[in-house]
Amino acid sequence: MPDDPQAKPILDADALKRFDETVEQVRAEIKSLIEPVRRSAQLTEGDYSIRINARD
Amino acid sequence: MTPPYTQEIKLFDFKKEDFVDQLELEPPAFTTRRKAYSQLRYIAEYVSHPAIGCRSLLVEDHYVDRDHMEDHSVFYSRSLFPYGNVCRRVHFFRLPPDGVAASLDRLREVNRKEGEDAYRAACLSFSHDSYAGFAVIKPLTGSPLGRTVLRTYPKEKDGDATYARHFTCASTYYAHVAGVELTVRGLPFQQQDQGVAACATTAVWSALHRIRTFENIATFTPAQITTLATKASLEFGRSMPSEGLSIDQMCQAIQAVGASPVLRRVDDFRTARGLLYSSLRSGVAPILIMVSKAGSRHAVAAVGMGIRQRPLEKEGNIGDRASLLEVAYLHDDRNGPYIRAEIKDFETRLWLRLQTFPDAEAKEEWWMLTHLLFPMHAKVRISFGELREISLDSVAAQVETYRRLAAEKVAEAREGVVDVEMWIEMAHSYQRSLLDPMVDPEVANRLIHTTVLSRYVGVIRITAPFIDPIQVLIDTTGTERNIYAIAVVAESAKRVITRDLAAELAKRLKCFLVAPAGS
Repeated sequence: MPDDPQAKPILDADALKRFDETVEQVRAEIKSLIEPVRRSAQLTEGDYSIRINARD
Repeated sequence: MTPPYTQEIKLFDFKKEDFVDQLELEPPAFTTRRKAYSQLRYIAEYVSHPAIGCRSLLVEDHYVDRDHMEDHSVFYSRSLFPYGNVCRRVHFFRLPPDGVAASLDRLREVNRKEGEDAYRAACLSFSHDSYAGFAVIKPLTGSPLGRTVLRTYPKEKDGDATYARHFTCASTYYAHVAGVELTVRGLPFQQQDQGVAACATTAVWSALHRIRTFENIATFTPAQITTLATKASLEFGRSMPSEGLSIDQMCQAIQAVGASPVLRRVDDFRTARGLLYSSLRSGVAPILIMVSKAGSRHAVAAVGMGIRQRPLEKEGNIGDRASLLEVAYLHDDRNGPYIRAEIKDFETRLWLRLQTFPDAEAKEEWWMLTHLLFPMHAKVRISFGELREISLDSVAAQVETYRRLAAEKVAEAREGVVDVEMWIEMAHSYQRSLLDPMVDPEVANRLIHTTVLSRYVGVIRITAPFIDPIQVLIDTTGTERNIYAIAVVAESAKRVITRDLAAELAKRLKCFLVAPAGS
């Protein structure tokens, strides 16, 4: 691709207008990937008080 | 006057079946040899694996081990039984005994005749070809295996072209024996003694060893870790003999040595696998906290991973690079080092199927992962969890959005999975990674000359058939609510839409664009 500062961006004004709406659509599709990541940070006292003592 | 101690160095053929006998250990009085020596037998199996190829043993009869000396000082010296404070050390070689003896003579001669630089280079070359590591043998009849650093399995697995091992948490360790400097890449392992350390302490001890590769922190012995862990609270009884630790106490110990404990609860298979992958990809040895079917809780440190080349699992056309993770290699103080643990999805939880070497009495073990504990540098405030979240929710989602919209005009964007991978890396190491022949040289030059990086950078790498690889660099000194991108980096720009997509991403993430000028 030539180095052309005048080159038109691939996404035109209409596509850019639909960008945010489409992102939300994609996020909804991958919700089941993201939600458990958020949940993994929600720690309670119970998590910290788990005792680890497996023996051989 | 006769010195109180003399050194005796013995060299003999290694025989797997005779290994324990060759060590001439005092048998334990109240436990079976089978139980006391199970980790030693594992070591014998491991070093006799064709990929390691041990053929001889060298035993130093008198070895002062810092870890045991400390354990002895705070615990064993106060017993009625006169436990010794001196250990033995066994070295494993891939040559027969006469070959080892001749090589050690030759290396000393190199030092004598050619000087230090030639000597060190020759030692390094010899270690690379012929040294398989060492094990400290403690004078404890019921738990003799002390600090052990063994050569890791090679990357390639015979007869399995689509599988590769990556021991990303191995570091270089030195052993000086008979005037020769030996080196081995691995991560220290030891058997639990249930005096100063149970599994939780040992897992923290192994994981902290890895941190020293990144930061200049002191080494801590198992006794010191247990003491630091139990200083603030004794939730489950006395600290020594060790009755195990709580997760809180493990965090206390990590914090006390100058690192930062980051804990995540993982109740979802893909999240657990993703965080485990990112940690291992980053070379941060994670501590895996697991529960057995019977309810026993266990902690192990992961050292490496097995990657299977196969189609990525995807959702919403976003592919998860972590889905290539098939195996984790674990230091399990109940079994041995570099235990192969297959990663299994069962009822949406991550289970590990541990396989020890074939043994008539050994059974495979199943453990469910419940938590991941990462010892990090205190300046790394973005956790692997937050990095994974923004990688999927922001970066990958925007790239996929761009693809869908661009597909209306550009045919090549009409298909192709958006493959996302994320890790954390030291800035200088990241800069060096850009010197890869696949990265446009101009990109590396621009980044080095124009961009200020945090000490550790979060890297989100997107690959897809319709673009050249694009990276988003994250400032890891940010916080969950205030995360900043440093730059969007296009590794090259051979495909039509790479630069346009990278520019759009940089605009939306409010950061620099680093892309080849000629595109």
